[in-house]
Amino acid sequence: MLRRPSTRRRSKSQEQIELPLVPIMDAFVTLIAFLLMATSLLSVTLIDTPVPIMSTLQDDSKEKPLTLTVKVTDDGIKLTSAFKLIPEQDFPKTGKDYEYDKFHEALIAIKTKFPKDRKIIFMPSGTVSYNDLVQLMDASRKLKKTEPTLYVTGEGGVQKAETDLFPEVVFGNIVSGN
Amino acid sequence: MAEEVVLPPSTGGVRSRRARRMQRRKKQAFALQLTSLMDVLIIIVIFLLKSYGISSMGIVQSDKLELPSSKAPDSFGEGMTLVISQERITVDNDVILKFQGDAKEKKFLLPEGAVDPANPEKGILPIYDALKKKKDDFDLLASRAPNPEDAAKKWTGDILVQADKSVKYDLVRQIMFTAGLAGYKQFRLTVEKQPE
Repeated sequence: MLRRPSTRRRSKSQEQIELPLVPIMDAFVTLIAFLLMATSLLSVTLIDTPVPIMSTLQDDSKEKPLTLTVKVTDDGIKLTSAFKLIPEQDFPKTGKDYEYDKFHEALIAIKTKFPKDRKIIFMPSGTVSYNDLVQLMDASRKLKKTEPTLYVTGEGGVQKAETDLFPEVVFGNIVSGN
Repeated sequence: MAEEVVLPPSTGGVRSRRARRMQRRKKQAFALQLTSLMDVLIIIVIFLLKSYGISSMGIVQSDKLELPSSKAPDSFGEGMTLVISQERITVDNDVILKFQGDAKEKKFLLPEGAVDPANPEKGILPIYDALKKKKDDFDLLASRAPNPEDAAKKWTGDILVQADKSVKYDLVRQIMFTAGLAGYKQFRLTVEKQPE
């Protein structure tokens, strides 16, 4: 016997399953409220500077270390090396600002000569502002994206690309202040 | 041809069966389309979760604290927070000392008695006391742990320094020196991220 369309039985697979989205929505709305409260639109990052430690251990290395040192005063920047491995370089201030670009270029030249060195010692005078120090650290940390990559010969003679200059910054006069 | 039914006078007269079926459908509960709304919510949650890691460093935004901007790569971490704002120094939100004079002049003059003139090698005394207390609290908790040696090794000695950009290095140096005396080995300078 033919059934009327309204009374025909439908198979279970044809029935629409409705996902209960309302509780999931509740959870998401609660999560958004919590995250909005905890979020900050100020983007910050950290620069690590370890405390210099005096060691009594004997240095057995045959090569003299570069010990690249930056003396920062109100008049300008001076680049030196403890064992005179590089000639001293002065970068006097022009107006109120330090010569960040020239300082950066000088560091690139030093990095090409001493590709394995990563440490730089800052010796600022007490009157130098914290902001200037952070800018100098920026200039000494990395190559700019527009600058050509340096290639460092590693173990086994394999060359690898290097984009860092001297990313490990240590303040050398924390104790003495000079 | 559609079968016609005669409706009672209250319903308005003669209507087709199709019209009645349509009317019945309309009376069914209204179902809200939640799927597209869920998509939007998920995108918002992902965006907020992405920026959550940054905020966990506890930056208190204030007009008395202007962080220097830097192009340093992204780095996050936890640790004791030492804030040098234009008017005071705080350690983990506890006010340790207030600078002398007007904060707008940005002179950052330490109050009298903060440094012992006879023993300047002891650093800034209120900061030393605060940092040492935090370190001693950690050591005490570590000594009560089931495995005290392992617990003591968890001391990283990290200190997150949030300093105003106009602070002079001399003050930063004195604070670093004091923190070193109190047993902190690594300074993490908090800076505002500048896009490259």
